[in-house]
Amino acid sequence: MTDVVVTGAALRRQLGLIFAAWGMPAENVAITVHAMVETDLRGIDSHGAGMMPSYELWLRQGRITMTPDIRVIKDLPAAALIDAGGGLGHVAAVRATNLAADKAMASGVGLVAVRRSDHFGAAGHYALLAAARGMIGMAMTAGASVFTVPTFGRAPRLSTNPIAFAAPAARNRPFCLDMATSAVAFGKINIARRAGRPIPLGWALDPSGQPTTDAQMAFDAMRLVPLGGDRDHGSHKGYGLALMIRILSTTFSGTPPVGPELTVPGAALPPGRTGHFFLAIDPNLFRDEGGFEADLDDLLDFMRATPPTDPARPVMVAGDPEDAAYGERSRTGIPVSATLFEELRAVARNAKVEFVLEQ
Amino acid sequence: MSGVVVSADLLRRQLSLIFAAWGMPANHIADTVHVMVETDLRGIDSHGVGMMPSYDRWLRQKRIVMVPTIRIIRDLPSLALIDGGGGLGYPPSVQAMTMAIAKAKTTGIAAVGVRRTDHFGAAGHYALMAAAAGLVGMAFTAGATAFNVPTFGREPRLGTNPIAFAAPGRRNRPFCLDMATTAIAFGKVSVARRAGKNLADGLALDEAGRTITDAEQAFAARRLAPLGGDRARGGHKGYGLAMMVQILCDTLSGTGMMRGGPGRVEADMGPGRFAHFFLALDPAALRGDDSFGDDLDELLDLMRATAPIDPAQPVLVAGDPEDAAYATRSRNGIPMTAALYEEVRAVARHANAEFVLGR
Repeated sequence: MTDVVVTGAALRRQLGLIFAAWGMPAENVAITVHAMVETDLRGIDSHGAGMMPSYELWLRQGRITMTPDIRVIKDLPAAALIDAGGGLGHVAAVRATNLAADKAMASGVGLVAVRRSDHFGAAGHYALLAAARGMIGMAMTAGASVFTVPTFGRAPRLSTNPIAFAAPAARNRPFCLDMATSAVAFGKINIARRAGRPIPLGWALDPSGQPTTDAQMAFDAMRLVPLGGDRDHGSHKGYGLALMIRILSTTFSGTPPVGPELTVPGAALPPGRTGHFFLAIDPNLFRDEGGFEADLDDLLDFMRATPPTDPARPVMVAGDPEDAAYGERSRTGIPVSATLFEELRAVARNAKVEFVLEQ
Repeated sequence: MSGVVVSADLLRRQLSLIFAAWGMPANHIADTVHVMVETDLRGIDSHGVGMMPSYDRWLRQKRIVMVPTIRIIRDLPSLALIDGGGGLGYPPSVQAMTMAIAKAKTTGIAAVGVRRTDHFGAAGHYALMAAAAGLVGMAFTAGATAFNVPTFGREPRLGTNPIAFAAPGRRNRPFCLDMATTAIAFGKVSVARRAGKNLADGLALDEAGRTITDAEQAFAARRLAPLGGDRARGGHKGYGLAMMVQILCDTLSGTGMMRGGPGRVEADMGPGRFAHFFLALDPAALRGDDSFGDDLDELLDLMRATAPIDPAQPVLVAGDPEDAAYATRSRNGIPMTAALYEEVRAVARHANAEFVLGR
């Protein structure tokens, strides 16, 4: 079975139909679908439409609500706290990012924490939203699903806890780092599983804590190593970053913790156990107008001009592969693996909506 | 020749004598010596008294000035920018984090940049200043000495660009992550070379950008891989984090340290080609209560209770090894290698300062 290519517009329509059937308010559907399809267009297949089977599962488990009451519960000049009401995170995250950027325009820096939320897609989407408003943007998220095994440990204790950072340039597209603090995102293992490919050694562990290259085994075991791999290669740093993001996203926001009994792979979680953290910085309050963007252009050009080990594979900066994918997929469409295509068909059937990707 | 053990008091006195002989003002000496000796007490031997031979060299190379004019360039309710005047980074960094703490206690968050500065010791010290005040603290620094080779490249372009993050618990000592964004610190390459040991693969590179394990070769090549190692194991993430630190420190503060390219050796460096960035966040401001420390305690306890691979090596959290060293060294003194002891004696002699460690 080969990939199916769908247009961004068709994918938007399909996701919109499903979310509406699930009872999500129209305004929230628009924001959620936009974030997800932008992510697919940027080539981040793990965090767009590929999440739909998980969202369906969580909805049935009662882990997420489709009609959350999203409220700003603390609003200070440079900081705010939002309660996401146990829904999917995209809508609360867009609101939080815009609020952080508003505050940064006035104060130079704006911080918005989000409590009681869930999966918000790709963290980079929100960092880029801030960059589009001329801000340095940061976005982090931590959930209670456990994947990452701490250094020296054999049981998973942390989620993949990503960090995103975007900064606006003048000539260049924004710099945009968006990375899981595990060696790879769990979604990448799911992609390898769907494609029937093995995974490289040093991505994941089997249930006994031994490294594995079997994507299906890794998918079932749900044990990822922190960035770095093992202690000799710096995994304590990846573990430390994962814990930093967990503290900023959930402890800082006051997201209710889960006890050790639910800190096991694949546990069905109660709603609202994910937190997010957003930071916006207005470079124009640090520097004269335009100085930051011009200097960032110089830095990005300088990095790309680094002599490569292989002339066919030039040095890039974070965001380059996603920008290239966006250009290509906007023109030619989004490839969907045959496995995901069938999974989406099943999600649509279960939701009793038309499957429009076939056309 | 075995090493010697010196008390913190004696080390403080020795460093003060040398800095005074170099002409550093008394208030700058107080900040600098305090940070350096605290760092030695925490067991971070690479960033305390061990830096003195480098500082001696940089002073003679006119890379650092001992009487910098430190000026506050911007001062807003949640933001400040300080010019370090080309001196060592300790005095402006203590000032920057002190300002960030005071501002965050008023507004909930503060960001302070320092431009045109130099080495500030261990980033974790400044993050811990915030934690001691009941706040979450972050500290970053970037310098123009190039070690870090971008993914797919063969020339070093970035410094080791560390990230520090600290958060206060109630029962527990603060969580404190302090990590270079390279796979390994250059000091560890030195240690392996002196011991005649090989490095793990993927940490250091040769002039062609290939991984090397020979420590002698690695020391000569001065090329480190980003955290993660090669592309398959996530080296692009370590490279991305190093860029994030570069942008927050250098680009945001307007230091422009890369103009004319990075320094390959110390002699290439003019003054003021470092920059720092500090953040302080008040968890009580958003949560409206002081339960952050309790939630953090619960999280740290959960991590330490992770089932270990080897019962003799329990799972730790960032800061645990340094806290253990602090307790031991506060009681027993700070061990110095014989080589470092003689180097400090030579530094004192060059400075015409009394050598008091021999007592």
